[in-house]
Amino acid sequence: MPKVGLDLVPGTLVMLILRVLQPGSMHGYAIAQRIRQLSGEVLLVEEGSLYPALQRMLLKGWVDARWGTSDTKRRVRFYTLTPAGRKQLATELAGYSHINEAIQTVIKFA
Amino acid sequence: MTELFRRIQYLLNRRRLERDLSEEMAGHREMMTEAKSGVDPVFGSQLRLIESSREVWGWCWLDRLFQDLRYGLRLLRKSPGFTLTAVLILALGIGVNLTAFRLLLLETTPTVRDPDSLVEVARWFPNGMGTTIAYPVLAFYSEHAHSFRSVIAAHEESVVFGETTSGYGTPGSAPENVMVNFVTATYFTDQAPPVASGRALAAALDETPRSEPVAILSQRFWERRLGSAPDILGQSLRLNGKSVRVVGILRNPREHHIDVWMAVAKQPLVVDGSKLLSDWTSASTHGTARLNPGVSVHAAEEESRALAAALRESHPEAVGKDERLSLTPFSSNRMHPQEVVAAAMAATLVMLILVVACANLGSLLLARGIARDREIRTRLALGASRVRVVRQMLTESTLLAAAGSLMAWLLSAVTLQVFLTEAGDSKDWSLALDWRVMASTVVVALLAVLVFGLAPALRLTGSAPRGGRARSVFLAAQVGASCVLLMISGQLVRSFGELLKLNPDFDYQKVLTISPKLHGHGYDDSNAKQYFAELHQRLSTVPGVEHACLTWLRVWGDTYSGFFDGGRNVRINRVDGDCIATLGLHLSRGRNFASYERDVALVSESFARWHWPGEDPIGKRLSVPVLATVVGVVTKAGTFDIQDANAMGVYYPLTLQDYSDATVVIRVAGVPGTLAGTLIGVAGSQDSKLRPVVSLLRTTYDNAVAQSRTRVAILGLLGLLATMLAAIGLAGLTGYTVSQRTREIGVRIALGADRPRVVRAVVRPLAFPVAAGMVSGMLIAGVISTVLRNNLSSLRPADPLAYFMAIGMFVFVIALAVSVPARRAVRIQPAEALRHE
Repeated sequence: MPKVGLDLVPGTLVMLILRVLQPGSMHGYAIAQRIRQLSGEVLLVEEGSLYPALQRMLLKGWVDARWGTSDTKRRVRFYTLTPAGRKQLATELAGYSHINEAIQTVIKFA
Repeated sequence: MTELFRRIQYLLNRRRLERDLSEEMAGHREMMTEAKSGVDPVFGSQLRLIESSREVWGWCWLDRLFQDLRYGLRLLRKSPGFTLTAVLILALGIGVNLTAFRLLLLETTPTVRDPDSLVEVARWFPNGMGTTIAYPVLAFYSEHAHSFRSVIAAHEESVVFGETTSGYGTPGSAPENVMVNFVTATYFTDQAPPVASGRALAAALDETPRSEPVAILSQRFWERRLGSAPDILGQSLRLNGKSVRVVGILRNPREHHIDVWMAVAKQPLVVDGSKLLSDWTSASTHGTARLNPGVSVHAAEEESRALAAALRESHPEAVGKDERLSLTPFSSNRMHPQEVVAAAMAATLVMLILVVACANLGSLLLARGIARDREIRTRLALGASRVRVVRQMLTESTLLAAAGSLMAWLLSAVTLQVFLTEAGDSKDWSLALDWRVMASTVVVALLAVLVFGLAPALRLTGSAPRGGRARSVFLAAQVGASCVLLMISGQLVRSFGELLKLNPDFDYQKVLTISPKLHGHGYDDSNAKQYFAELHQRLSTVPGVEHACLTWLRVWGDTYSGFFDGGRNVRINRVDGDCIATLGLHLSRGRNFASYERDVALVSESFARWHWPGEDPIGKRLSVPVLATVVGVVTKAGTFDIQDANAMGVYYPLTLQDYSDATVVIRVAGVPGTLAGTLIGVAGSQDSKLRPVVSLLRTTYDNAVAQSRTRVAILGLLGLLATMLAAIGLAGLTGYTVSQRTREIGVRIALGADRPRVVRAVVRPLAFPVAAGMVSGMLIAGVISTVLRNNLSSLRPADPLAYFMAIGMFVFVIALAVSVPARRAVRIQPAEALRHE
């Protein structure tokens, strides 16, 4: 199965990060691993592209970042959803499933 | 809002946050290598990722700006000659504009509060106007007119100033004259700027019969005559020998010539025997009034018509038939239409200087840009976008403009201070910091950047970066504008130059006047006649006095009388029979009249031509303002208006009621200044009350000429500046062309081209734009000077000599500017040129 670059689905990366962070705070590497595992290694081509997206989310105030120590005793930055981030996730998910349904309908019945 | 806040927070902590990010990324990569899972995960270029993370925060433009600024500064520092020339050109171009703008602000900034409701009061008669009014009449209007909220009376009089009681001034020296404005307290509430220190006059304090006489000094008088004595408030001055206490200082009033203000109620105390406050007939007070809110000028004038009629019942001597007031708002008469046209023209010329400067810089930048062609191409080839390169070049232009306008700002501040100090004002730097001046500097500088920076930048980064056409346009614009400037300023210089030589057509050099102001001291007509008869006797014994005569209005004085004739103003004066000889006026036809004759008149040639065109005026009857037969014609009536020897004027014989206002005119043999003291003594010794004022016509004349001289100097400077700018631009441009074409010229020489051919090769590309610029410049100059001639009567009619002189000089300067680089071209050595890169 070919790998799909995230840039093919613009804006999705932010939504994925928000979703991955929903259960609790995570550092960048863990976010990347999580997306990679869950998507069956389809969705993340360049792990580094997380960071511009995270910066954008910091700017928007959807996540907070705090330095801490990882399980492997490494200094890492943990990202946590803010209330604004939760709201944003809800909006994006709703919007996404709406569009998805529409696309699915077209594909099935066209 | 919070997003903006986060952005700013990022900007402030940017260094730490970026370090955090790269540390985080590095950590991520380390973890990736440690994990080493089956598939090879890719991180991506850290540099690019950091770059795009940075872009998220939206501060990249700032980085690029700093980059551009640094680069621009480095480039400008690398070629100091170019930078200096450019900054100088810009400073001159912008500076001239700024100075003109500041002057305009200075002229038009209302010095009174609410100038729309403040009106100047004049008397209107069916056949004329009077600018002054008798004090009791004005007081009558003040009391009865409902249209006026307040009325300001101002009576100017020259009085003799002695030293202060504590010894300021120059003790022991001859007493000087100072101008005193005797005003009502309303002058300070409604017309004058607030006093700089001390207090203003107040009705309750200074206008009661028991209040002591106090004075407000002008700051200029305090600085120049009293040496800025710090403890002046509370001190006493001696005015006409009376002690007057100083209570305040007024800075930069509208009336620059006034030294001292006093309450008009105290005028009789200073001027012995004065009947100013009770005399209904002598119109010697200037009136100003503040209209009540909502009252129109027209309504106020109509009310005054009724009041004048009522006043005529009780004081028929005070008011003429059908007389009323004529009111002119201060807001309307700040500038005459003629002055507006003149100002617009001056503004156009001044803007042209900026155009020349911009075109000049534009072509310099273009030439320099062509030399930088390789650098620009390289940057474009390395992937810089055109916008980025244009922006970089504009940043350079902006740097130049910033430096130029800073210099311009200083330049104009200094020029203006010199100008104002020359004009006799106190120093006032507030104008330099005026927000309008600041704003206009910025706007002008930005415009300049657009004009001189954008076009070359676009041209140079375009696909065919030769800049040939742009250069031609710049060149033509520059030559054209310079040409206009030079021709107009040349013409104006010649016209004002005429004023420098203004020929009153009589020999004023050895004439002085003595005004004993008898009326002011309570003389009646027959007493006055008696006084002058005695004075005449005494004067004839003073050695050096050649002629003496009497005139009703002072020659070149500030009081006028006249009538309208077919819409034009005709000035009149009444003189005795000796005046033609004393003043040295020239009779061109007819005869002089004798002092005892009645109903006769002398007219000026200009009036005769206007009123009886093509006819012999001798024996003709004049009915306005009085019946008179013309007995003679004087070539010019230069005694009325110092600026206009061609003024239309009529002289009538002196009548009995003129004596109390009359002035003695004396022609002396030697130096007039040395006789002045003697003459004051002679005129004053007859009556100890009197304080005669002696003035030299030469002084009056010199002051008038000095004004014109300043204008000529300014205009001449503008013309010179234009020519210089054009020369610098052309020389620079030709120089660049030559160095750019060194190799080609070398080849030509090697192939046997002779000198004229080489010069032609260099000059030919310039020929068309220069010629086009000159032709259009001459056409535009022609149009402008036609407009000017229609609006400025003092401008001479079409002046081909001035035109040819300007063109000749311009061609000469251009030739000179081009010849230097052309000579360099001729001397090019073919062998070296071929190695030249």
